[in-house]
Amino acid sequence: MHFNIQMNPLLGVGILIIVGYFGGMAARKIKFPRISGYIFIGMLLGSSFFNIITQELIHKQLNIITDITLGIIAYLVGGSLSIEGLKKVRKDIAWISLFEAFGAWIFATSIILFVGPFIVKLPISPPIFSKTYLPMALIIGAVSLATAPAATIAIIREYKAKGPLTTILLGVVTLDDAYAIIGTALALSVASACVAGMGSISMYKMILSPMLEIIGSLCIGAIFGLILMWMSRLAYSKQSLLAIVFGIIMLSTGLSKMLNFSCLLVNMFIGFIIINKIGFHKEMFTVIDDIEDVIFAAFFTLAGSHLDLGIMKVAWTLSLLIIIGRFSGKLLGARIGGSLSGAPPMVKKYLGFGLLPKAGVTLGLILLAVENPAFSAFGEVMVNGVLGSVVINELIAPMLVKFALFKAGEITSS
Amino acid sequence: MDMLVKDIMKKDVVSVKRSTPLKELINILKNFHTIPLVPVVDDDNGLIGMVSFHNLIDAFLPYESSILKTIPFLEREEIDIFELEITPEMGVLVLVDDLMDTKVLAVNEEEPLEKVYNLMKTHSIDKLPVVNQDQKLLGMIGDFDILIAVFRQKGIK
Repeated sequence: MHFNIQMNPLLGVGILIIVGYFGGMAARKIKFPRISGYIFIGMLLGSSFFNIITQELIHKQLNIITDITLGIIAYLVGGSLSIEGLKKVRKDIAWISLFEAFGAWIFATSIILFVGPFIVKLPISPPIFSKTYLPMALIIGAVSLATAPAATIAIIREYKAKGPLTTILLGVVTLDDAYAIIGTALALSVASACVAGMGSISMYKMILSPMLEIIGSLCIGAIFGLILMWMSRLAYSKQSLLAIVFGIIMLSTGLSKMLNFSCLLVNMFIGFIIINKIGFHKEMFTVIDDIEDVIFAAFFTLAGSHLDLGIMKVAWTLSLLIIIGRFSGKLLGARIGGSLSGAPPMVKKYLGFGLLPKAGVTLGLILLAVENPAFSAFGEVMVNGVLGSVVINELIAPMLVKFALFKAGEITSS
Repeated sequence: MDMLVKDIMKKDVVSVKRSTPLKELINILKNFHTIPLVPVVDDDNGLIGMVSFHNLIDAFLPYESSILKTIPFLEREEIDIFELEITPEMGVLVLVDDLMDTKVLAVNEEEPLEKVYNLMKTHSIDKLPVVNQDQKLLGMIGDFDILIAVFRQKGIK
């Protein structure tokens, strides 16, 4: 059933928030993460079902929701990188997180690079490998680094799991989002260079251009971080602090887009500066809690509305490749990292299963990537492929987390 | 004339040392009439940390909760204090050093009350330690102390 409503962006945002919110509530009732409910409702609102949120609205006017959300996510993730905290990260957690994250990147990228051209059909013909499959593989590989800890933590809480596997798992999932943001910023930069390279990719475009983007982004992040530090002293209430923090995130995101820098790195670096330079920084991050729900409801419902069943007929093979590549990389990487760091056998054997859930950051990063018109040749297939893999993940990964904790003997109650 | 922190702060402050065991800390805390917030000082009375109600809870959760605080999309869950993993020997084995927050917000005795009150509202805190230029603990000030001072200044004495 399709509705032909003359939709304006504000009406669209209102529908996304209110209808999405009910989806989130319903998901919680049946013990699923709220994100699953938002995505499901978004799918119903999108062009494949009721077409209330049209493709035109999604791609032209509502992009701003993705930018706002990613700015906030990157700022919060930067805020988890306290130098003092990182120094305390145990050796085994550091090794395992490095290997499982980059394992997922390498495996997901490789499988899409080598198998993708044979089974994933792109809507252009003939697709030039260096301008389609190569940048798509790089981007999907990078977003595959992320792990969604919500499902894992819900299971740990529900079953009161404890032991070395639980401890290492919690340590590793918190680092994954930081890797994913840095990795995606790099991948987007290199992928843009690949698409721009006319047949042969020059050394300048491949190396120097991404490097300049990274350095520029860190400089802008540092400047805005210092501005935020200074301005936070002017706050006279929690609400005024929220206005300052949110305003700076929007300013830095907008400016970095205008100057073609990475809004991910800029905001992440702002968070990094705040956590490490302000002695008492808790409110600088928790102040976001007050608006988090409304922004995330709009964002994930919007993410779900990207689902296009027409494209999904082609993209399901990509979803399959992403799942296979990411699962293999995470499982093998955790095992290698565990062996190198001398982790207990149960950790080496089962940790990878606990790292399989993905949702929020993955979706955010892929939607940010698809905003770039340079990726239009493969953008929609890429988004639908990742969206499909997220939906499948939401269904099977929590069971695998439970399996891992049970096999490791860290679930004590039934 | 603006009232300053030093004019109304409570100088009689209960503080603890890093080495204070949990058992002794609990005995100190139980005498508080309000939610306790206890400064931790070194041998020279320099402020080095604070212990609060939340530190007592966080330290005994079955998993490290502080690392989860900045993860996006994580649904906050109410903590069940009846499920905290506490054993009798922890009373002597766990020290204030294991519990305290080292990132502390403190105010100078020369600060005007209005500025301090705004700081409390911004950071959702109802009490703050007062220090001098050398970061030595001089007292404590609460939002209620400031409110009483305002009433008095307006003639209700």
